Amino acid sequence: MADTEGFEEFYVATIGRLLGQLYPVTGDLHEAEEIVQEAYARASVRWARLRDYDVPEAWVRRVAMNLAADRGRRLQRQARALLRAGPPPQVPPVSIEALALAEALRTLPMHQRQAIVLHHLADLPLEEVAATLGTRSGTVKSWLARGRRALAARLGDPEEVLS
Amino acid sequence: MPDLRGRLQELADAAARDGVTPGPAHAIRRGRQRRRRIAGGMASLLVVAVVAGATGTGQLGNQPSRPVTPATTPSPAPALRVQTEKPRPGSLEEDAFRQLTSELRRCPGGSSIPADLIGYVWSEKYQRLWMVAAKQPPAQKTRFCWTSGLFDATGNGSRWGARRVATQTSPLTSLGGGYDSGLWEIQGRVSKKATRLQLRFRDGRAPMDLAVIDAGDRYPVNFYVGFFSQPHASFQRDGWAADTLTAVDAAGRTVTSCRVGPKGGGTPKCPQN
Repeated sequence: MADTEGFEEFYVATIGRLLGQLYPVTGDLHEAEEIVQEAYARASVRWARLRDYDVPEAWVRRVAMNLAADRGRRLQRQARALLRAGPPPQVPPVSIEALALAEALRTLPMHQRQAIVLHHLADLPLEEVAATLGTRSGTVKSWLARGRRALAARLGDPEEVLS
Repeated sequence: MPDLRGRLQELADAAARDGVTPGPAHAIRRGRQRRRRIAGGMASLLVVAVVAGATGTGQLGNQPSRPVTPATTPSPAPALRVQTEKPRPGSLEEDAFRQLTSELRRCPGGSSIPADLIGYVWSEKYQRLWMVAAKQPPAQKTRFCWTSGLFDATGNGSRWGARRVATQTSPLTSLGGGYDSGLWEIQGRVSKKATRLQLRFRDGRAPMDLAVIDAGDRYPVNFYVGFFSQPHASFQRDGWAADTLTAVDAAGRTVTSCRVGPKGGGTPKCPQN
């Protein structure tokens, strides 16, 4: 069996979902595309082993989330000088509400953003979010609570109880 | 904000609809290129290690050796050889240290205080690199900062956030995390009096010696790490297999002991930081 057998099908079946999950984390569609492609490139060389995993997508997601965190830090350093005057991040056409959420997400620390996306969009339970982000579930719980509070405050309904 | 999920889903759908990726064939090509680059780097590293071993010094020729007091020389688990040499440019270790340095910028003093590489171990069994780095406190402050990370051979990994020690007096602290394929990591800081650290398990397996990393004279504690396997199904059913940590001094006396598993037996729970 070829080392990449089944990889194309896996890629086609999951790329849209992972791109959708990475975009709210990065806030920039180009950035999300690049990160997701790099994560799949890393998966392709391990595919002989990964294809036997119950959920190989979880591995790719984890790699992508780590890459996003790394790039986030790098960008923070570069952004001060470059991005203020540069073009706005590339965003796909969405409703005002969703755009407001994307803007608000960008103000959160990366780990809170990741936790919110993994829990509320990817529907992962706390334990799995914790495993993906390499931390404990208690920490994830706290990131989620802080992140949701910050989002609610920015989006103008701080009284709302978030669940 | 009751529609958080709905708005997130809208963003996700838009990205999936409008995002452009070059396709699986490109991912495969890119993966192969990356593997060739890494293989080249690892081969160079191996040559350096062999040369260093042949000289009988275990040190890279032009790197200063870290002072180690014989009485506190750690006895790491045989599978985990502690290394403290400055990483070679372009190596996995250098990349890992860069990532930890970036993490430590969150500590008081920011980037004005340089990060110190304390040490690293490579687990042959799990094909992972674990590294610990620390940072001195700013003037007039006493609590130092440290962080650690676990990386695979490609440099992809998980970092624990930078931590400023809560109290300098805890003789033993412990953090644990689970990864793919049932790999578990246990790590923390330990009193300099300890020369050996043993982890006992609840599931009947033999105790395991953890690798102790000497942090030198500039830090008041040493660090440790160990890896073990436990299937996630067993973790969900029976809880964490790790139970008790015991630190022992050079004379074989117990320095301190604490539990990483559930409470019991009158032994205190290890603090996390």
